[in-house]
Amino acid sequence: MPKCNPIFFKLALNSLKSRKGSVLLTLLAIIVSVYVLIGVEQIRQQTKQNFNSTIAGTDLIVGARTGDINLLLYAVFHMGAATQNISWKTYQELSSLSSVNWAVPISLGDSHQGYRVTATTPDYFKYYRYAELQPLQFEAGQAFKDVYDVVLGAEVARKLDYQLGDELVLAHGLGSTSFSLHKDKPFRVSGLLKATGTPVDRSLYISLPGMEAIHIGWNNGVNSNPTAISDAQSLTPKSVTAVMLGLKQKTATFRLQRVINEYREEALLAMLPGVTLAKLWQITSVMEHSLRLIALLILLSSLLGLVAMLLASIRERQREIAVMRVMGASPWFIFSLIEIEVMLVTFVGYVLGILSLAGSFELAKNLALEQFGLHLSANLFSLEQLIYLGFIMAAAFIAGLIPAIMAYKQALGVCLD
Amino acid sequence: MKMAIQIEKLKYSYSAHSPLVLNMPSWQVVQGERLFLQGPSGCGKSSLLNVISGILPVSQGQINVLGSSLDTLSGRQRDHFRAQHIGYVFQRFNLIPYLSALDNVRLACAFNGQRPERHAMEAQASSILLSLGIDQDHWHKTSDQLSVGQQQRVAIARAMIHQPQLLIVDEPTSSLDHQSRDAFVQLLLRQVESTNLTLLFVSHDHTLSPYFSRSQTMNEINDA
Repeated sequence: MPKCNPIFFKLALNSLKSRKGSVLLTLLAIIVSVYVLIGVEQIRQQTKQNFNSTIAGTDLIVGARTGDINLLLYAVFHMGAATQNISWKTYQELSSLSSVNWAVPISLGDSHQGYRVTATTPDYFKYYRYAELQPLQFEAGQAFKDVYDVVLGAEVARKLDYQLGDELVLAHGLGSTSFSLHKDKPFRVSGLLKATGTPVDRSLYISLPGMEAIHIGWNNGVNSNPTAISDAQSLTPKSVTAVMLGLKQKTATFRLQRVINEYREEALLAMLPGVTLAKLWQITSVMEHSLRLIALLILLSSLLGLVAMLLASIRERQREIAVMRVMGASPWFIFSLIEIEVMLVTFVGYVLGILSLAGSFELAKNLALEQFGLHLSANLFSLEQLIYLGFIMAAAFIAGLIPAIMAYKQALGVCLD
Repeated sequence: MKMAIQIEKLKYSYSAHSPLVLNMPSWQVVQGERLFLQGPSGCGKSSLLNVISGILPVSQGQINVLGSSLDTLSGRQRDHFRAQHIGYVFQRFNLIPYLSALDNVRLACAFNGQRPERHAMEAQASSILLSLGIDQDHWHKTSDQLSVGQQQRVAIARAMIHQPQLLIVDEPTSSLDHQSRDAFVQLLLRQVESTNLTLLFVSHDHTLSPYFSRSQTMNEINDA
C-alpha cells in the first residue's frame, strides 16, 4: 500500500479541518489534560526534589533521644518541639571527636510573630547547605556579631517588611500571639538571607549568647527577675536543642551514628538527614498517587471525548468511506486513516499543552519561589517527557481503536447504494 | 473475443440464512463493449456491481473480470485489482467532500499504487479535467462549491485518471435533468470513444439505451 504518499496525510488533515468545531473542542480538552498531567507530574517531582534538598552536606543531626522523624521535624523544619535538650558538654565532646569536621549547635524555643527563632553559631551560615550543596547567601548585611543581632530568612523579611537595622522583639514560646515578649531586649537586624525555598526562609537566626541573654532571670516561662547581663561568661548556654555534624569522611557516618546512639552519659539520637527526609516523604505518597490518578483520569476523559467525536463522525462518513473503497482503499487504509486522525489531534494537543505549560512555568517561576518556596525549573524537553509522550500516544492509539474498528467494519460491508 | 466479465453459476446472499440476491447461471461482457444494464432498484444491481468490483467476496460460483478470477483473490488483492483496473462513478456523492476536485483526482492516482512521475500525473489530471469541461477555476473547489453536473464530470475524471479497463457507471444521471442527462451520457461516451475500455452503464431509465452498443435488463441475467 502506498501509505507514505503525502496525499494521505492531506486527506487526514482536511478531514479534521472539515470538522473544525468539534475537533477544536477535542483539541482543547487534550491540551488541558496534557497541561494538568504533565504539570502535576512536574510539580510533584519539583516538590519532592525541593523537599529532599532541604538540607544537604550535613552528615548527622544529633538530638536528645526521640524518633528520627521527630528530630528532623523540629531541627530542620522547625515543626513541633523538642522534648529534651542535650547538654553543652555533650556538644563540646561531639565537636572534639576526631572524625568530626564541623559541629554546629542549634537552640530552639522562641519565636517572632509565628516565625521560629534559631540560636546558633555563625558557622551555621558557613556549613548549612541545601539543594546541590548550595550555601546560604546574604541578600544584605552579614551574620550576627553582637549579642542582640538577628539574621532574617527571606520570607520573614518580606512578609514582615524588615530592613537592615530595624529593631524587633522576640516572644517567649512558639505561638504567634505569645503574651510574654522579651520586650526589654530588642534585637537589631544585621543580615537578610536570600530565598532558598527551604525552612531557612521562615526562620530568624540569633547567636547562642543572644538566646541566653534574653532568658536571664526567666524561670518556667515567666520573667521573674529582669536584670542586666552581668558578664559575658554567664552567656555560655548550658544546653542546646540539636547539633548538626559534618564529617571528615562520609564512610565514617554509620560508625559515628552507632557511637553516638550508644553514648553513655546522655540518651542521644543521631540520624542521617537524607535518609530521614526520604522516610518523611513516604508519608506524602498517598497524596502523590492521588494527584497522579486525578491527572490520568483527566487524560482518560479527554481521550474518550476524542473517541466520541470520531464515533459520531463515522456515521456521516459512510458515503466517503464507500468512495474511498471503490478507488481501491483497503479496509485497513480506512482503519489507518481514523487512527492517523486520532494521533494527529493528540500530538498537536500534546505539543500545545507542553508549550503552554512551559509558558506558565516561566511566568510563575518567581511567584512560586516567593510564595511557596518552590523552585520551578520545568524540565519539559527531557527524555522523561518522551516517555510521557509515548504513553499518551499509546493511550490515544488504544482509544482510537474503537472508531477505527467501526470504520473498518463499515468499509468491509460497504454498500454502494 | 476477449471477455471483460465472465460469470458462471454465481450465487450470492448477504448471509447464510437470507434469500439469494444474485443467481446468475451465465453472463458475459465482451471487452470494449458499451453495455447498458437496465433494472429497477432492489433487483440486485448494486450487489452485482459490488461483486464485479471485488468489494463483496464471492462464495459460490466463478467470476472472472479482465482475466482475474475474483473468487480466488484475497480481499487485499481484490482492493489492489480494483484500484488498478476499475473506474467507478456513483449516482451521487462521488467526491470526498473535504478535498478539492483536483485532490480527489490525485487521490485515485495514489491508490493506484504505481507511482508515475509527479509531473506526468499532474499533467494527466489537468488534461482529463479540461477535456471533461472543468475549467481551472473549479479545480480547487470542494464538492459543495460545484454543481451536480460538475461533480459528476469530476467523478468521471477521477474514475478514468488511472486508465482503467473497466468503467462502471451506476445511475449517474438520476440527479440530473433531461437535458444535462443526455449531455452527460454523450460526454462520457466521447471520453471512452477511442479507447478499448469496457463500459458498464447501469440505470433504471431505459430511454438512454439507444446510446449503447448493447442493452440488457437485470431480469434477463439474474434468476434470483
